[in-house]
Amino acid sequence: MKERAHKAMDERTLYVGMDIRENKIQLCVYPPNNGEIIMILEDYPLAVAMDEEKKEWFYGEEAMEKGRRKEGIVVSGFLKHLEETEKLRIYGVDFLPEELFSKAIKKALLFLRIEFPNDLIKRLTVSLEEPSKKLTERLAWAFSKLGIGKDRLRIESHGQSFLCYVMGRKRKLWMGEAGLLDGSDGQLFFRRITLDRRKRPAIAGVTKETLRPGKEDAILAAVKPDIGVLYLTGSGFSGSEKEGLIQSLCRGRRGFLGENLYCQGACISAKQQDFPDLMEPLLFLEEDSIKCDISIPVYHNAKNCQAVLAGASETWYEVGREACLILDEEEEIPVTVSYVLSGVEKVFILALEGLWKRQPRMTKVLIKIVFTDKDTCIVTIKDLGFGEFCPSSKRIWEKTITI
Amino acid sequence: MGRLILCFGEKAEKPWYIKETDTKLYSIEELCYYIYNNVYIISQAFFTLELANWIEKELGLWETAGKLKGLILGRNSCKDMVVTVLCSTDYYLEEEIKELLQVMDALSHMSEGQRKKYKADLWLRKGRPAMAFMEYRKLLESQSDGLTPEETGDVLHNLGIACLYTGGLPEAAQYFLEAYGRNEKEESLKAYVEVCQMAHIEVGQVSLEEKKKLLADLERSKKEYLQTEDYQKFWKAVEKKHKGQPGIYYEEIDRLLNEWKQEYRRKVG
Repeated sequence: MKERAHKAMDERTLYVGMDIRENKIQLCVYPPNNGEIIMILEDYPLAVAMDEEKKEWFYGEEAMEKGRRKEGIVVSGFLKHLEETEKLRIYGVDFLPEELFSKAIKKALLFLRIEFPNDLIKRLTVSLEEPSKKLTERLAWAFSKLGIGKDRLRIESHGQSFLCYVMGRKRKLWMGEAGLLDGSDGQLFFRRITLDRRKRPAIAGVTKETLRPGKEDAILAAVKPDIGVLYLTGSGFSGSEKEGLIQSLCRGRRGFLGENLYCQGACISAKQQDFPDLMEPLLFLEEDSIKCDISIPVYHNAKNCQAVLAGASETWYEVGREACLILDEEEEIPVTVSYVLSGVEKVFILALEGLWKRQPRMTKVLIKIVFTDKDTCIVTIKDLGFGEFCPSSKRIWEKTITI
Repeated sequence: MGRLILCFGEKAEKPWYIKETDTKLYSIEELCYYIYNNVYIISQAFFTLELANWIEKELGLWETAGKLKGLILGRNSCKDMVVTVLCSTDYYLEEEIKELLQVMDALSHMSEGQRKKYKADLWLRKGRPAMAFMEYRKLLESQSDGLTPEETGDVLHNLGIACLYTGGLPEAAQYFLEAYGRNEKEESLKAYVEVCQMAHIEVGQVSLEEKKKLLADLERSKKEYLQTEDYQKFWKAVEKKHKGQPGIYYEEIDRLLNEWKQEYRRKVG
């Protein structure tokens, strides 16, 4: 199974970006010939419906039509359901929201298959406005049902997709500061990229400011003069009545108007994982990002080095790495916490008290790290013995580290 | 200074079973450990395509498996295969692997009989006297393995030791006497006299002078035994009884007996 997974990854060629909103999705792809990003779906309705008479499933626009004609039960607003709803009842049958979501996405991905019938998805990045822990878990489940496991799926925020979109473009387009006005779904946000290039890699962040639509003075004031490139997206900037505002906003700076920024940014984010040169190396820190590296010293490939158990910029609730170590005349494990912003390092020693006395290299331990919130991590170490040669004592050691 | 060695590969759901030693292996590190500590019985036949497939499918180490398959199909030497497996992890250091290769070179000059004896000796060293006994018997029964009279004597001596562990004192005495007849080593003679004493058997075929000297040595050994940890544990338990603590005495005796029983079962199992 492991061999099949390894070989299959080589045969996959498509890097896909998906922007998921409450009631619609966008889908784009980097084609196999390394050309430009191609949009596959723009504002595809994210809905499923069951026909009342035939009890058949309908998707997308057909589902919406069923709803309009009152010919069945329509389910949309998936992001809200995934956050808040445990089950949905359709004609007496209970469904998990993630099951229905999976069906809807499967249909949407068929359009990709039509365009590229001989190619498979190598990586897919989903972009959401606010990826919470619960939402992320349920989405991951839904995609796993489609055969897209955690090794090929990334879920990120709109802020991160915006950053990837900007950083993945030609350098001259983003000298100076970059900003984004997002007028989607009746709201208005101003996003701004912050970059600290004093650190290596550079530390990036994206601020988000909520503005009131229609308040032009406030909008103009929010976009400071140091913004050298401004992106505008969302229906809030469509229509001839907005032309004047757009001209004012773009005066003295480069301006770009488009509806696919997050989707394309997600697509760049997908490809960048295998082609790091697509973007300058960055450490992206968001609200839920851990702001330190947590590592242990190991002997690997014939040299001493640090094995990172959790990396700065990872979302705290997604950290769950584990490693197996063999103890060679060691009875304690030093865990190093390296703070990326201050550069400070702290070492916490985990002493394996009560470890059974065995010959050197006859004790294997499993070390695992999880976060209970963005500032608290728990390091767990379990004695595994050494196969049949030395049975495990089943002892477990645990240490809580406050970051 | 200690090391924390980062492991390679996955843990196998289905272990690799080695019939000759009744061993199950679950990881690449365990495989390396097994090869390193059993190199005297490892030959080209150990490295099969099935083993390579297990490394690939169960351990997820497709690169190592691929290399090994290439060596197997290319009929490369056992040394090449051993090095490939040992170098696929950080379990052993480079100098340790080089030492092992030197041992393998030495082994390659041994006769079939010498290698078989080494295999049996390994069982004895590992505390598996019943397995060692079987190997030594097989070795003596096949007469074409090129052992010298002295080496045959040494085999008989080790058979005697294996019998000691399994409780066959008269048989042990016989083997030690036969061993002395071949290897003419004092150690074998000494062992014969000691076992005769233990089994209350008349010591025959030894001169009076020699017998006196060896019995004096035995008395000295008995006194030395009184200082050993095993005896000290037993004596402390007896003291508890004399001090009016029979409960603790019986607990300790039970514990000691259990330890000895488990050890015995392991040795003859």
